[in-house]
Order: sequence, then structure tokens, then C-alpha cells
Amino acid sequence: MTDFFRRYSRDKVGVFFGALLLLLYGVALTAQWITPADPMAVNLREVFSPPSATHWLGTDQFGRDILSRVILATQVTVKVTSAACLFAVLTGVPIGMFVGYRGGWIESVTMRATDMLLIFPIIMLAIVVVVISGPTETGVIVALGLAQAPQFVRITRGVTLSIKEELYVEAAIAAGSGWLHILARHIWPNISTPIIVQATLTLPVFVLNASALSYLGLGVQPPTPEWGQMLNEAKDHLINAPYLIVGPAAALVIFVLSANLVGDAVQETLNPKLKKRK
Amino acid sequence: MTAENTLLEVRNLRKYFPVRKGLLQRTVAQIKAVDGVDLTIRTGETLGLVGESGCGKTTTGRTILRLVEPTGGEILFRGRSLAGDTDTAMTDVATASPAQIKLLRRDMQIIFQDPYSSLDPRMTVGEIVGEPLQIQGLMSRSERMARVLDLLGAVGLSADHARRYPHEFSGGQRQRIGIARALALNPRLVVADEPVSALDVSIQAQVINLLQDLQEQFGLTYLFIAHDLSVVKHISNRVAVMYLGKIVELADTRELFGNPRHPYTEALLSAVPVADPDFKVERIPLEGDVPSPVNPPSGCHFHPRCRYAQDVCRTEPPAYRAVGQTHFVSCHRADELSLRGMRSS
Repeated sequence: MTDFFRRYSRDKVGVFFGALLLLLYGVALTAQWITPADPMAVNLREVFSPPSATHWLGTDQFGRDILSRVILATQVTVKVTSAACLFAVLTGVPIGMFVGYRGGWIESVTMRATDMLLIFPIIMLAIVVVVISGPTETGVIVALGLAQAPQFVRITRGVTLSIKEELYVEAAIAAGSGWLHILARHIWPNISTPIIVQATLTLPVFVLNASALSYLGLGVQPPTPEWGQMLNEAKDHLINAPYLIVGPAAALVIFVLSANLVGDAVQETLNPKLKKRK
Repeated sequence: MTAENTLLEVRNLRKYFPVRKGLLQRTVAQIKAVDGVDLTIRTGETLGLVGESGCGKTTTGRTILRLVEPTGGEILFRGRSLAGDTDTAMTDVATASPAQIKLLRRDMQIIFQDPYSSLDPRMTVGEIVGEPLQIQGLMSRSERMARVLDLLGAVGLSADHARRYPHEFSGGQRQRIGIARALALNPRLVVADEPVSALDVSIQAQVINLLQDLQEQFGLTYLFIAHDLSVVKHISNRVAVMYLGKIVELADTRELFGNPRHPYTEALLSAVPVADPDFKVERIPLEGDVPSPVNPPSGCHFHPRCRYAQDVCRTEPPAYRAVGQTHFVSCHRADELSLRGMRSS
């Protein structure tokens, strides 16, 4: 573990964007206390005020402070995407390990089912789930998680297939071990690295999809702010108040970019062979 | 009838791997990796099993341990744990239930060829050696730790190695860890699957001596699978020669090396280097590759490469029969041929 941090610290880009990502998570955790104004407070005397000393990013059509809303939206996004990522990992990884290790018809059926899920565009799959479950926070989490879970099933199954041929797995069988012990004791510790990498690399996809859903009105509902939904509102006032778009767009770009670059850096640190091929 | 001192008796063991093809995965052929093997191993002895690559010796070892499901045949084993220490009953491993198999595993263990892939890189040496005890649920944590330290001592490693990880060890040391793991359950039979062929020659000698010491100390019985004849000659009491899924000759080590009765054994022996510059030997080259076990030659499987082959060899499969008190061979011409063995050293 210390070895991981030592090697990671050599990657300048990774360190910079890792710090940025940590900052975003810090903002998310403390959002309630650091907003300069009440993000929900309507002030009809100050609608569409351009950026100023009091409202750094201006105010929207209800006179709400954009900066405060962007900060609160960070919390919503981080909450939804982290939960969805966890959901995808916790469903996809056990299934992938189980079918990869057991093989046989159960593997064929599962893999064909994930193939079918992968055919649909992720956003469309998410729309279907949200339509069924309703546009609640939980609905969005399940939708985003389910849309990505097949990826984790596939990746986990792939690495499980290679590890289960190792002789130490056979040694455990020769000692009388059952499949549960082998999965927990031998397979998981040896496949966790590629899965951690995949999870970090998928995080920005979750962020983008969460914002896309809320842009389409299928995500978190107003008045709770969300970047996608704020962008949707801002586009209606693009001519008279173009500054409205800056805050949520910048936040989205920073989050997705840093999550992506951190994912790459983690990948290169844990798997240095990939770097040379670039 | 099974003699009193027989630990393992294998009768007509077969393992066929299906060759599947096409969309429907239809079986188009069978790879006969093990095709009717008969063996007995006596308590306390070392039986060497030799043969070329791909002749089925590893599959035989793994099938005996039910790491590979046998296609047919019997594997009678005198399992101590299962019979309640009575030491009399033989269990057929080939048809044992999963619960029986788990108990049988306490009495039969394996040492692998590759000391690198056989140790989990994410576990400490202590965890690796103690794992069989943990799986079998024998002993508490502290008893297990004490046993692990004993075992590490027995294989020539020290107690502070227990906390280290496999990558910190050399090939020979790793093989010692694998041996300690195999001994953790105090087994009766150990299948040693080419335990030294991945090691340097100097380390090979150490590991072989260790195996012999441990055999004496713990009363082990070995099925020693190898392709290096000089190693087999050194460690084995009896030797079985395998060719294309069948045992072609089995005899006491001295007898087999001095007086081979099968042309294949003769050819193998002629290839063993002798450490004497003045010693001239006529090598008997074996031409061609081992034939495919999918479609083995008719009659005697060895006839296309045999320099003594006659018409009968091409049509009739030879019977596996006794040609002496303890000498078995599967060759039509065993009685008429006079084959050259190795000079006794």
C-alpha cells in the first residue's frame, strides 16, 4: 500500500488531479456549511444578476446564488455517483467471480444476458429504469449502477478465468477447499487490482450519465440542484444570461477530467506494463 | 485380491478429454490422456512414473487425487481419516462422495512442478502452509501456527520465514514451502508431480534428499512423477514407464534399469547421460514425435517408433502381463528380445 502511494506520487499529472478530485470530494462533504448563500433562497429582486462580489457566478431566474447551487450540486453528484459505482461493483463483481469460477451453462446464460444489456445504450437503459422506479435519488442510483454492472461482470469474469487456472487454486482444491473459500481467499485478492482500476476509470462515466439523466429531467428533481439540470435551465437563458452556464459546466468538466486522469494514473501505477505501450 | 501393504491400487483408470467443435460444441473426438492404467503402490515405497511429455503421467497423478474427474476405472485407496483409523478398508476414490473426498484429501496430497504458480502471491508463507489445516478445520489458530513453524523447520526453512511473501524466496525455497504445505495434513500418499524439474541441478539434489528424509520421518508414500530418469532411479523403489496413456513396463528400479523388457524403456535408458567419459553407449534414437492421443496407432501404440516391430505389433494390442515376479510389461516380443539396460553404477 505504501509502495502504491510512493509510485503514484511520481506521476505529476496524477498527483495534481488527484488533489483536485479530493478537493471536490471535500467540497461535497462540507457543502451545507461552505455555501456563501442559501442555495434554495428565492430573491425576486435579484434575478439574473451577472457575476459580482456578492454573487461570484451570478444568480438565476429566481435570484438564487449560482455558486451556492453548484456547491450543493457537487454533493448530490458525488453521493449519487459513488453509490451507483458501489452498486455496480457490488452486483457485478460477485456475479462475475461466481460464473467465471463455476463455468458451465450458468456462465453461458449470464454472459449472454450481459451481452444483451451491453447492446442497449447506457443512457437508454437508465431511462427505462428511472421511468419504472420514478426519478428519485435511489432510482437514479439503481439505474446508473445497473447500466454499468454488466461491464464489471465481464471484467471480473475475465480475470477470474485466468486466476482459477493457477496452481495455488488447485492446491486449495487438493486440500479439500470449497468454492467459497477459493473465491474469497485466492481469487478476490488476486483480481482486486484490475477491478479497482476499472472502478476508477468508470467513475467519470457515472458522473456524465448522472448529469445527462438530470439534464433530461429524469434525475434528481428540482429544487435540489444538479449540474445537468442547472445546465438545462441555463440553456433557456443563454442569450440574456450566458454566465449561468459557466458554473455547472466548469464543475462538470473539472470532475470528469480529474476522475479520468486519476483513473489513468492509478492504472499506470498498478499496471506499469500498459504505460510502455503508449 | 489386495495385499495388506497396498496403499493405493489403480485399476483400468481412464481419462478422456472431449474435443469439442462447432456452434453446438459437439464432441468430435476423445483425447485419451490416460487409457487403462493399472498400478499398485505399497505403503512406504516410492513409485516412479516416467514418460515423455504428453504421455499422461501428470493426468494420472491428478486423476488419482480426483483433481481431474476420471472417465472410468477404480482408484482404491486405504484412507486413514475415512475408515476411522482402522487401516483396513479401501475406498474407491473414483466414486467417493464430495464429503468423503474432503476427508480423503487429508491422506493424499500433491507437490506441484512449478514452484512459482503454486504459491498464492497474496498470502504469507505461514498462511500458505497453514491453509490446508484451516480448510479442513483441524486445530485452532495458535495450534496451527505452531504446526506451521514445525513444518517449516522440517523442510529446512526458519520460523521468521512464515511472515514473508512467496516472491521473497528462490525457486528451491518455494518448492520447500510447497512441500511443507503438502505435509501439513500429515498425508499418507504424496503425489510429487515433477517436483524438481523446474529447479537447478544443485537445488534438485537438495530437494530430493529432503523428500527422502521426510519420507523416513513421516512414513510417506510417494508417487514420483518425472521425466528425468537419473532422478527417478535415485529415489524410486519401483518404476513404471508410461507411453501414450498406458503403462508399458513396471518393475523394481534395479531390475528395470538393468534388464528392461520393453523397447521403449530400452530407448529411454540409452538416452540417460553417464558421468564417465570413456563409457561409450549406442544411443537408440526415437524417431518422430509421440503420436496423437486423439488417434493412437493401431495395435501396440509404440510400433511406429519401435525398431523391433513386426506384423503382430501393428494389428494386435499387446497384453500387460507379468514376465517375472515383480516385472510387468506390455510387449508382444518381450520374451524373445534381449534388450540392453543401463550399466549399474
